[in-house]
Amino acid sequence: MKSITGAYEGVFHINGQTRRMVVFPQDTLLSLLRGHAVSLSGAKPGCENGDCGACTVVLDGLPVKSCMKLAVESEDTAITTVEGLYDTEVPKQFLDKWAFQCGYCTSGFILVAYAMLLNTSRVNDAIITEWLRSNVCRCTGYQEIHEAVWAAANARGNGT
Amino acid sequence: MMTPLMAYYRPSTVTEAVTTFRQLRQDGHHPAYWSGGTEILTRRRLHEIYPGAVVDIKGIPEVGQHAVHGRDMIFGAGISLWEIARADYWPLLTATADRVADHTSRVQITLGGNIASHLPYREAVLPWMLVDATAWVGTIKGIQTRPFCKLFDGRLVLADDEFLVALQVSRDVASFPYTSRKMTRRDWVNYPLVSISATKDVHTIHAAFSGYALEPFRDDAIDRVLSEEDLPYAVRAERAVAAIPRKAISDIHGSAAYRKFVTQYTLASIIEVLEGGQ
Amino acid sequence: MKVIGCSIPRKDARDKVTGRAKYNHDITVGGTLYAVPRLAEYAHAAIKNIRTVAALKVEGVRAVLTGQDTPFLVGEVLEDRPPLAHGRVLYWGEPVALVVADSEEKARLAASLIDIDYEPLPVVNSIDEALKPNAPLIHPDVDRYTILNHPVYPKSHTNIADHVHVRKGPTDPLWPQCDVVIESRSVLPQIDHMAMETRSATVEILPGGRVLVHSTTQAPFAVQKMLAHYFQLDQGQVVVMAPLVGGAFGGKAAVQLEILAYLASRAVGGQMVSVVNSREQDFAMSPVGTGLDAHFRLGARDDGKILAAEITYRLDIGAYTDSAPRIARAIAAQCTGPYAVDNVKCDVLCVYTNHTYTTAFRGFGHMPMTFAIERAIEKLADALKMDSLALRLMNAIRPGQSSPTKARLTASNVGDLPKALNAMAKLIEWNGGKVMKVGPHLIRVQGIASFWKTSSSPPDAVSGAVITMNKDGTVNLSIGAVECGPGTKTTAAQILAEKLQMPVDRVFVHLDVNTEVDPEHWKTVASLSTYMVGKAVEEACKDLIRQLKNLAAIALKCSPSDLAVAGEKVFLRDDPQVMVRFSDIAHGYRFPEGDTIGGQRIARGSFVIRHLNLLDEETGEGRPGPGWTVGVQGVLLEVNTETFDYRVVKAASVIDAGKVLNPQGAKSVVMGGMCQGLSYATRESVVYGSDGTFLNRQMRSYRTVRMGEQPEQYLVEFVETPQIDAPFGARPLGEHGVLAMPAAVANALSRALGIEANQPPFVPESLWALAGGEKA
Ligand SMILES: Cc1cc2nc3c(=O)[nH]c(=O)nc-3n(C[C@H](O)[C@H](O)[C@H](O)COP(=O)(O)OP(=O)(O)OC[C@H]3O[C@@H](n4cnc5c(N)ncnc54)[C@H](O)[C@@H]3O)c2cc1C
Ligand code: FES
Ligand code: FES
Repeated sequence: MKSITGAYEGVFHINGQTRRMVVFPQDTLLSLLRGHAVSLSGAKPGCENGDCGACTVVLDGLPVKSCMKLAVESEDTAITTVEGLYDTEVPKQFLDKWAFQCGYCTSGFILVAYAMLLNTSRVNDAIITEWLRSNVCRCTGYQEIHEAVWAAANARGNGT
Repeated sequence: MMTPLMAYYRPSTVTEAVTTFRQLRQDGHHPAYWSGGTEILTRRRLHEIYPGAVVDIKGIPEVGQHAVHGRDMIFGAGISLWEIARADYWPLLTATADRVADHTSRVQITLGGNIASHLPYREAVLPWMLVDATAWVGTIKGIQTRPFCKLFDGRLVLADDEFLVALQVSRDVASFPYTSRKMTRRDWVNYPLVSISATKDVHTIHAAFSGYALEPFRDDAIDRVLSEEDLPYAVRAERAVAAIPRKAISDIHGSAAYRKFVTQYTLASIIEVLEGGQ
Repeated sequence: MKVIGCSIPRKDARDKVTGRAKYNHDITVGGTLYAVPRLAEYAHAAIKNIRTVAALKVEGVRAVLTGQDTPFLVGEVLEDRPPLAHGRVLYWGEPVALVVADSEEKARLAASLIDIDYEPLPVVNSIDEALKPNAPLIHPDVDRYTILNHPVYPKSHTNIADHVHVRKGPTDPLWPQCDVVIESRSVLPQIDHMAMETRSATVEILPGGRVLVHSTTQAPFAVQKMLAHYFQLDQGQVVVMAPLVGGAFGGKAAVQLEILAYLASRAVGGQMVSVVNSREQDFAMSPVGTGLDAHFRLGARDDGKILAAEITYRLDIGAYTDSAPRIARAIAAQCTGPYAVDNVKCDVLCVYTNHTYTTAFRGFGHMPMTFAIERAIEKLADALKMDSLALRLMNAIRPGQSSPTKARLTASNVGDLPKALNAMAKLIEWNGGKVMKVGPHLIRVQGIASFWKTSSSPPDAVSGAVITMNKDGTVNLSIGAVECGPGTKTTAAQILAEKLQMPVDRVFVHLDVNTEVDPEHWKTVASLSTYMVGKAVEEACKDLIRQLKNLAAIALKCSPSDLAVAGEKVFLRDDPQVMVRFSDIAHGYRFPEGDTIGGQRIARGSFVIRHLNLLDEETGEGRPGPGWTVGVQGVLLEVNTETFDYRVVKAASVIDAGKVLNPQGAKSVVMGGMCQGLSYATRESVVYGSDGTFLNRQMRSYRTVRMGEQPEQYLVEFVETPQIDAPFGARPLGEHGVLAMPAAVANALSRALGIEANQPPFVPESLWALAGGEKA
């Protein structure tokens, strides 16, 4: 039985790299990612209550709110953060379509969109809306984000 | 951010889980079973609970099962609501579960965690209140089965150290006509003003409600009124609301009077859908 | 080379979409302590006893502060707010004690263990309750508080923190000449900014006397001045660093956490201490947007000409004033909306309640104000049986007329509302607001509303720009405006690039602000940055061009006046091949013989708004801002008359931008504002329980628009009537997308359902209730 009662050295696979890190059982994945050992601050705290999606990362291909996940639960999963999507289609389209202003919500939206494209061979408006309404943006009109996600879907052929 | 100290255990069998839980309880650690963890984390950060240890049941094979077996469907308590919708074994459960919280949260929220939730909603339980289902319960003696209706009375009734392992139901229920409606104050993602799951077998409409009162409920009297086929939908809906034996709540989502109004027009449209073929 | 008028990608774009842009709490330093406040659980109560023993016992706790350790009052205008409650708590969520500990977890745990005895006092839970005779006094000493920034006129023995008067026109009013008189009341709740990044501040007090502050602030220079003022420091000692801000909307212009962090740091020998708002704290403890209860009496001739207006605006400012007196003056100065009215009597009251205190909010009071005005206009149109767009057109304020506070309007300082109204009529295919049936219980209906706004900055607000040149001819730009989202820094770089006729990607703008090295910009509020920073950048460019020409003239053996600057070169006007490159003269010019003259090119520009004054105490007379942006917004709603559910099919804006500097940038900031405005109209409000508890202090319960709930279609257009003293003629634009959206929605809903939708937010339940509710 895995039993962790204090400082614990875990093995984490983040953006394709394997790292050994010391975590405490109560640490969330969000605090692990943002902490000094990893310093991937692309995942943002917006509520730490599962409501806003700013902290979203992708675990084994599915979006997860990292404030709602324990670090120790994320061992042995493939963790993708926004930093791991450098130079890929979704961020590129967010840039092209002006799908951000303050940028604080942006990584969360990008990761949900990325996970959606991984899991859905052909997207439509309803699917985009359903996946992306997990997140809150306070600056944009959402249409820009919607367009960016469509553009990313089209760039990969969207099922055709 | 969190309060310190919360030990984490991940047993791989039911007995190991219950034994661990008992030991932790005995040692004064106030343990909790951990499934999706979303509710434990949100309550803990508000200092509503101080679990000194959590026992993660997702490593137990029976908790993670999700399959069609012979005449039955089995849903492990640790299956996420997202996974339920993806596999879509039982369309009514899919429709109901797919409206809980938001898409990303459903990747984490589990069937068992939602049904055992301390919040008044527990929307994923609604379909189970309409069928004869069997619950697998994790006990110190291993897995026991009990009729789900004996286990759920507005909330899950289990001994402190027991937990829900899985729910089992006949495949037949998947072919019943059904509909599920979640009505909110305004938003697609929000707690329900009222959430209604309904099915129809031969002549009877069965409906279960969440959000309307302090806990989910269903009632034979409501079902009888809903099923009076000679009456117009609107009349049945109005009478059904009058027949609800619970007090509608008033809260920031809506007043009691408005909840009744919404419940009424929603029921009318549910009846219409369920009888639409006739 | 054309830079202005092009959709230049934002300077912060790549860092933001890759998650690498750094916000305030993204970089933490090991060993930083955390301070966590304990919040009041009563809206109004006497503090009988605070026991900190259990908190102090938590391992890692370094200090616990209470109101006794902070025996002074702070405020932006009126000093009425203790950093930690003194003797009484005045709102639910007010900070009562502050725990400093090694980690945030420990501080939070310890804060929850502080034991406080309260004696509940009667709660003032609304404006009406506050103004009742014998209402409990929230500030019995209101007339004895120090006024830090005049004017503010608190009324002793009342809950009125301030009263602003506007009196315009004949003393015996024109009411008898009016054929039609209407009255209208609008009530708007407090709302939250809910920026996605919660507020945070870190302070370290160095032994040498310097105070280092890192904050999510929109107003680093205000933080600097406040800390210097309250802690008897030289302003130069206080160094405030403001990195990229994750949304602000006015809420981060208030100074609160910086003071708490300073107190916490001081209590632990000056060590670095961070205060990071949880979302719940950010809602309940930190200031929200003001509520409003407005009463209108409008009189018009039967041809539609408005003759007289009598208006009362009562603001629910919550428990402390913060910037409310300035908001009240902004409302007073624009109190009639963009309509010419000769006879105006307007009173604006700041009313204390036991609600969370309030501060600037996108539009600085103009969103609720516009709502009240536009509902009254609509009612007047109904009474006159006139098309409401035609009524607006007839009364639209024009050059040559004067504002309610008698500021003269010119073809430059005010935008062209008639043009915007006509453009809107086309844009949404205005049908007069007729109800169109589109299904069994489905109707569609349009609503429009106009707005205007000026900046209402203090008359001595300053802004500056410094340009330094790199050896290779690229330039660095340093300004004091914070990047909160609208692209302020990019606009500044664009202005520079256009003035110097150089590629904008060779302009490097300092994205963060540091008060020690960046020139002051008053505050990044009031949509003023483009105007003020832009003017300063223009000045700096002139300075730089002068310096470049002077040096180039020596190198090219000509007079500076023979020279022109473009494409990173300085060249002879009549023979451009005779030239030096920027790189040849950026760090001095080196003669072929090797000797060098001139050093690094360092240019500066500074700007102060001219000709503004404070409003007169009795008549309000005065000039509140440099210019007025005007605009019209509209919606097309689809309403279900059975369920009262509705959706926004189209949302449209026509704004007089003066000159659109960056089309895509302008469109996105307006669209974002529209979405936010629709969110307020359709769902947002702070909800207080009957005991004053802030009930919806989580995003789970304070709902905002999400994907799929935005309008099906956004229509954004600009008209361009240049403000001739502004950079390239551009008018402020940043806040405006939000201003008239709630009013447009209310106007459409009122027509759709034959109700008076005067109290947002409009959820189906409120429409159901207005249409008769249970009794219907
Ligand atoms: C953003 C968000 C939105 C939400 N919206 C909704 C909504 O619209 N409708 C709704 O119904 N709910 C909603 N919820 C609340 C949600 O119901 C709970 O957080 C969730 O159901 C808990 O599931 P979990 O698997 O995460 O449970 P956990 O947090 O793991 O557990 C919840 C409780 O159940 C106990 N428990 C867990 N598993 C078992 C088991 N197998 N047997 C016995 N006890 C068990 C735990 O000890 C704990 O007390 C929302 C939550 C979030 C984060
Ligand atoms: S921070 Fe995780 S959902 Fe908001
Ligand atoms: S860009 Fe600011 S919250 Fe989305």
